[in-house]
Amino acid sequence: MKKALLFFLLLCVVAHCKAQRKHIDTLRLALRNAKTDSDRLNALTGLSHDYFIPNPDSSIIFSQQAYDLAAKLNKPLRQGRMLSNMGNAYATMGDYVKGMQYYFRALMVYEQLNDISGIVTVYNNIGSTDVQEGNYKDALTYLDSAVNKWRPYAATHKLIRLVDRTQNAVLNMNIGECFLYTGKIDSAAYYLNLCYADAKKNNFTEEIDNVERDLGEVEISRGNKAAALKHLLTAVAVAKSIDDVEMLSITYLSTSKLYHKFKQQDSAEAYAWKALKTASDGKYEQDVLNAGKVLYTDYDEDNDVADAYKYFKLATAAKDSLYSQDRLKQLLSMDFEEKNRKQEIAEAQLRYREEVRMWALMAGLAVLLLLVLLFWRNARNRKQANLLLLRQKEEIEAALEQLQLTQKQLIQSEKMASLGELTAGVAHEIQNPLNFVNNFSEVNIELISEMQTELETGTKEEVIDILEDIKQNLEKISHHGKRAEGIVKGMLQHSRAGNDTKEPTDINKLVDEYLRLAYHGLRARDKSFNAEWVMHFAEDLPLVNVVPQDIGRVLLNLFTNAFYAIQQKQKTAPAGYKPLLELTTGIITHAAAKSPGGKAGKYLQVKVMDNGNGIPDNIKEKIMQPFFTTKPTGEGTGLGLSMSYDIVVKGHGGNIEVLSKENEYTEFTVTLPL
Amino acid sequence: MKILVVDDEADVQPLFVQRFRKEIKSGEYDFSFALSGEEALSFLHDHHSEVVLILSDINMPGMTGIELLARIRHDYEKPPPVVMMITAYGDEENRTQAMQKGANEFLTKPLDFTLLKEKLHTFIN
Repeated sequence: MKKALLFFLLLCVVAHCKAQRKHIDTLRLALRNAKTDSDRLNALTGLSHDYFIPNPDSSIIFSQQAYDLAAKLNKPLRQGRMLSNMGNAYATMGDYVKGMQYYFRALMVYEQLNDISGIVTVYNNIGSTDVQEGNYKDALTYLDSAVNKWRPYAATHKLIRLVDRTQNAVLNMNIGECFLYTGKIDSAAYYLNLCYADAKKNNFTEEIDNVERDLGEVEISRGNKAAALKHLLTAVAVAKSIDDVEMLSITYLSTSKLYHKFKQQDSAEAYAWKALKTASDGKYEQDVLNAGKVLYTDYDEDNDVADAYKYFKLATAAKDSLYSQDRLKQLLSMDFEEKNRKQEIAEAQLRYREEVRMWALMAGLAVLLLLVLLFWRNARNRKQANLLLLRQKEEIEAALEQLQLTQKQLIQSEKMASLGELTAGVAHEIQNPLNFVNNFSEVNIELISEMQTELETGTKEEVIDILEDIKQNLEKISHHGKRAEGIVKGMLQHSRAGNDTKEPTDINKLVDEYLRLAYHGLRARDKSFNAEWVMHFAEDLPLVNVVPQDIGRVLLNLFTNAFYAIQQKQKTAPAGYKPLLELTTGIITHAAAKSPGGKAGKYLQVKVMDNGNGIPDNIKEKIMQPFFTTKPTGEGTGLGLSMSYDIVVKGHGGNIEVLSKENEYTEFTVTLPL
Repeated sequence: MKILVVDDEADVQPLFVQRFRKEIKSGEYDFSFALSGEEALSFLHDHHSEVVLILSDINMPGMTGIELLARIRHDYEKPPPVVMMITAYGDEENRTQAMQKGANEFLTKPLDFTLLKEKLHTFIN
């Protein structure tokens, strides 16, 4: 049964070997027929892989070509693979220096690309090479790194490529071999069996070959001759099937070791010799050395001095070749270079960190600068806003000042305007008394000369009559002279600004005077206008303490408004309309609640009522506001009633009230405290 | 000859009486007085045929002199009385208006009686 299994296995291996050869032929054909660089690259890559075991020299050539082409096509990952392949080939041929050089180059490429699979593969290869070199400590370090990198990667990635699928098996194998050569047989067995199961399951031929040999070694150490032999025979068969000359040599040497252990010296020597021959045929110097060592030790033990010496020389030659002075130097320098490289990497990382730190600092500074700028800008904006506010405040204050000045001027011009209105009326009012003064004077002159004649010729009675006339006329002259004086005085008072002393005033007289002024003022502008007025004057009015020209201005305003209302109504009223102004003066007694000043007592009232067009309800509230006017633009200042309100309410502690019905009447009532 | 004087100033009456003392005494002129346009119209209504000449103020409360003039020209065509306007407003606009309304003369206050007497003579003759 066991034989059958072995046979079947051998068949498989032979088939694999044939397939490998066939594959190489196909690839060579593909390389010749390749039309594109990409096709060429794939063919070269395939050849690099396929030649590795049977002919590492050729593998190096194809790898180098593939590497150059990949560089031209800018395929760094492929470059990494080819470097790794070349490393493998050199290491397999015993040139560890070159192997390591290529491995480190490959590692640099993969690290740059951060290709975990590639990095792990190279770690694995370095570990494997260190195992063969006997640097088990280094080997374990690399392999450990490889395991640590590989496990999380394998757990999260789908493994498709052969190199990825075999990665774990190779890792376990290398670790197993490491333990094997350091005498930790159980650990070695554990890892090697892991590899074995993996390789068997997935039919990884090369790994089967290796692990069969390794397990043979394990069994040798354990003293299981049969089991060891079985593994080693299988390993030989597989190595032959895949043309793995080195493996064959190693396996022969292991077999030699087996027989040596079980004291079958002839067989041991025979296999050692086979191992030596195979290794030297394949130029595997390390293996030559190993086989040579075994042989000279064996012959030495056999006291076959001549043969022992022969194999010693052979082994020494191989050893010299392997450990020449140059090689040692190279290895040392390489180690130095690698350390250098690591240090450079560390320095680069440090530099990078420092750069990052510096950039972070710069960024921080930039942010700080930005903040400072922002604050500065804010402060500046606020300052500008404050300046603007200050300027606006000044402008507003200036505007207010200007407005106050303008208002004063307006009030003055309102006064002057009403004065101007009056001038014509005043002229008329003066002409009338002047008419009497002039004419009665002239009559008197005549009468006096008549009287002189009468004195000489006439009777005494006639003289007395004439004297009586002269006296009457003089009285009239005096009366009209005073009347003119009164008018002029009123006019002067009216225009005199700033005289605001209160004095006992006859309100009836004031009303009469200003009514005439207003009436004639209006008629001076509109001669077709006329109106009737009725005066209901209380005869026993006491003198009231007021500022005469101020109250006069109020009255003038009320009269002017009343005449205006009448005049407006006249324009549209039917023919029978009789314009009428009613003026009433009187004393009333107010209860505290109703009195303007809040004090109970006697008040003087002046009512001015007209039957003009009235005040619409919607503007009643506004009529006392400054600049409110219903007159066309340019005709009224809108200050009359507001000024009147100020004079009566603020200046005299009185009140102005208005009653009105549109198109029927308006009645203003001025109440002044006595 | 009957002359009607219309003026709202009551002192116009003694003034005219004094100024025309001699003419009144000699019976040359006979003066009547009215204190308003309305009073003048009512007087004219009663004494139309007697009144030959009317002297009227313009600026009066109620009916103005111009209105009175218009009424007289409207109501009393035959014989048309002579109407002279006497006013304190001596401006050209006022004069033109008065003349357009049919005034025969336009005199200003203070009244120059020498001039008035000349005008009266002119119109009577």
